[in-house]
Amino acid sequence: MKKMKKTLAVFLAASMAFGLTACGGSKTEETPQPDVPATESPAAENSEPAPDSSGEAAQEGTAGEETAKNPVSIQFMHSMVEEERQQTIQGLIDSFEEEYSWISVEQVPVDGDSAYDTKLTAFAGGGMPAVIEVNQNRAKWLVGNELADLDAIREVIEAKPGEYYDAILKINTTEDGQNFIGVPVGGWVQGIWYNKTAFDEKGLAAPDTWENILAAAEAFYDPANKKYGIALPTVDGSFSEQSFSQFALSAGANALNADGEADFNSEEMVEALAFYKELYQYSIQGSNSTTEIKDALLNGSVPMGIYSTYILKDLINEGMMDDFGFALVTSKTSASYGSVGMLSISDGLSEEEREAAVLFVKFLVEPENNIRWLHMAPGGQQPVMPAVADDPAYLDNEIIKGFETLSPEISAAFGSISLFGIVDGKNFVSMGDVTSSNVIGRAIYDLTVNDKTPEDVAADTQKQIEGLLAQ
Amino acid sequence: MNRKKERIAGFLLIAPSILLILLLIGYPMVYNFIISFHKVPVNPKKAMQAVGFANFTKTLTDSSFYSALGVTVFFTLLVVVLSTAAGLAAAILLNRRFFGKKIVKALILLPYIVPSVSLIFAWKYMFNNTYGIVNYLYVDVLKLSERAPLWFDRPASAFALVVLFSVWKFFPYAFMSFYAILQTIDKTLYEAADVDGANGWQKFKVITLQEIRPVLATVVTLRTIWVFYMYTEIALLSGQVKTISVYLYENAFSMRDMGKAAAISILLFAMIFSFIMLVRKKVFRYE
Repeated sequence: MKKMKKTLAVFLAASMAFGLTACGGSKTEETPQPDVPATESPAAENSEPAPDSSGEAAQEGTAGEETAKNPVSIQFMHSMVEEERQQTIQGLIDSFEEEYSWISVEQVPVDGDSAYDTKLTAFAGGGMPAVIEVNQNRAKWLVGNELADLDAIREVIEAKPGEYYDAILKINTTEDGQNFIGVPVGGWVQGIWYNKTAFDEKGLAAPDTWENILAAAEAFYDPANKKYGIALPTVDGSFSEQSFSQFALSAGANALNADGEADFNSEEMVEALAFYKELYQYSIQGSNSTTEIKDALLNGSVPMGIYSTYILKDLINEGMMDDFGFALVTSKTSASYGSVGMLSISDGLSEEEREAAVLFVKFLVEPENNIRWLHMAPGGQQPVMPAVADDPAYLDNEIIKGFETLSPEISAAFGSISLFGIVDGKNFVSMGDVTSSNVIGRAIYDLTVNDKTPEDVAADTQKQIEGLLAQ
Repeated sequence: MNRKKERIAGFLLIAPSILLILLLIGYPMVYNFIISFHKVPVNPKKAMQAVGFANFTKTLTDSSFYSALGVTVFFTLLVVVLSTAAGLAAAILLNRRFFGKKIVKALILLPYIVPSVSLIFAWKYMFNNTYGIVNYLYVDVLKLSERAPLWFDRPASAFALVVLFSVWKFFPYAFMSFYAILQTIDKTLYEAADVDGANGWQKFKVITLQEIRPVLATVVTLRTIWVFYMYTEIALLSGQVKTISVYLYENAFSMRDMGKAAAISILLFAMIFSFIMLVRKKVFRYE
């Protein structure tokens, strides 16, 4: 009996210790990570009143059908954790449920970046939500792991022929060119934001070429007075990969070659790394993430910095919009980094769930609903369909009106989107694994903050990417 | 016969708890153990591949594992000792009447009750290169350096700051525990010690320490487990403090190698469990 008691006590103690460790670990899932523009949180506003749905989605769900349908409920996982955004999404869901009364949609908001990846990985182990909002890297990861229903995604996109920008479809196509990795709902671009007034005062050209960027960075660099030439992303995270990719791609370097193999040790890549390191000399030192760069641009510590369109709202609110310009990095070619927000439909759903998911996604990309979605973060998320971009309902927003003058540059940036992993028109899904492993973000941190040589960084990163692709 | 019935009744009473523990903790433990011997695809429809001890071998032959383990042990030791000592010192100092005691107690508890994320961002702002108060004092006022040091980017200073933050954030837990137990110590014990001519250290060693031992054991045990696996504060403050939780997280969610991550967690569980049992048996044997 005594022995049994002892055994039981040891088991309970072990269970308690394991339970406590599990409790400690679970904290991480809820923690936002501060290093990716996708997680920036411009407050949602200007949500439009819910218009009645129409179009294809409405045609498929007729009142007559409703009586014959069995009730079905699906989950929609997204990264819009701000309360106002959740309210807008709930408004969209309510409109959808009104139209398709047999379907109920439950929203599952999950905080951004790594917590999102954590949750996604956990869900992948069983019970994926039917519809998931993802960026192109996560979409590639889902496709690479056969977790996305490519037929269902294609069904939604093919119902909208010619409605998306070509550049968006280029990012959105699988490497065999036969399928799409997700249904685009919005996108943002990244480039160089610069203070035109300050540039004019010094007689400097816009920072659109490597030479102009370097010349301006040198001209403005005055560390004694806490003024720096540029705010350059250097954080050990994907923001640095996004930023650096513009320099590498503009020089003709890519992380993968046309066969989908690692290609990080090329001459062009070393040249781009060397330039990025040179530029860092004139940047704010240390690990620079979105917070540091946005603060520096807004408080005047730097005249230029690399950031996404999510900065537009802050520039307008601070009354600085007229002073600022937007430029793309150009060497041999122009390159901007862009991220497309997509909706993925999970594989393995029951027939009813799949149908409900397709209807819901179709509903969300209807122009009037897409506009409500984009108005959650006006300026940050840009339209991916020309019809939406030109729609008076979309343009009727104070923030969007505020950057009208920059619209041509932003549209041009969409046309110049180049990404690591897209080579000769082939969009390699394996790049999703490379990005999510943060190998390139860490390489940029080592290159700049840890002062490693471009050659060492290129060789080391090449090995790591090779290792990842071999898995 | 009655005793047998009592025993059965006793087991029946605790049965729901045992069932819950088996379900909520036992099952994940067993599943974790199983997947540690497999290569686990992310897609559950794909079959797991048995790999024997490969995940354990991979972990035990990875130099990063040992380096992360070393950093974690040192980090845990420093944070547990310093936060416990600070909590105990604060509890002893406050275990008397003085003006403004409630305000002081509230201030001590503040870092513990404020969400970590807010505190972490406040610290990052304090140490910001261009407008942080710390660098302003360090560089502009005290002129200790020409340039602002990269506090969170250099491993040594990042480690020191993460330790400092953790001690500051978590010592109120020890303070609360010790403060509660100190209030229960019979004052006559100290009066008797005074009569015997004992000095402050002797009174602390013979009376206070003996009386608070059960709480001390609990505080040290729980804090060791929590600090050993601490992730949020470390990862958000600096990417340069590579503890075992960061290593585990990277394997599980960046590299998505669930098999290896499970193997790491089994190894860590064995280590921390043995350590806790040893400490409780050797150091805190008070029964």
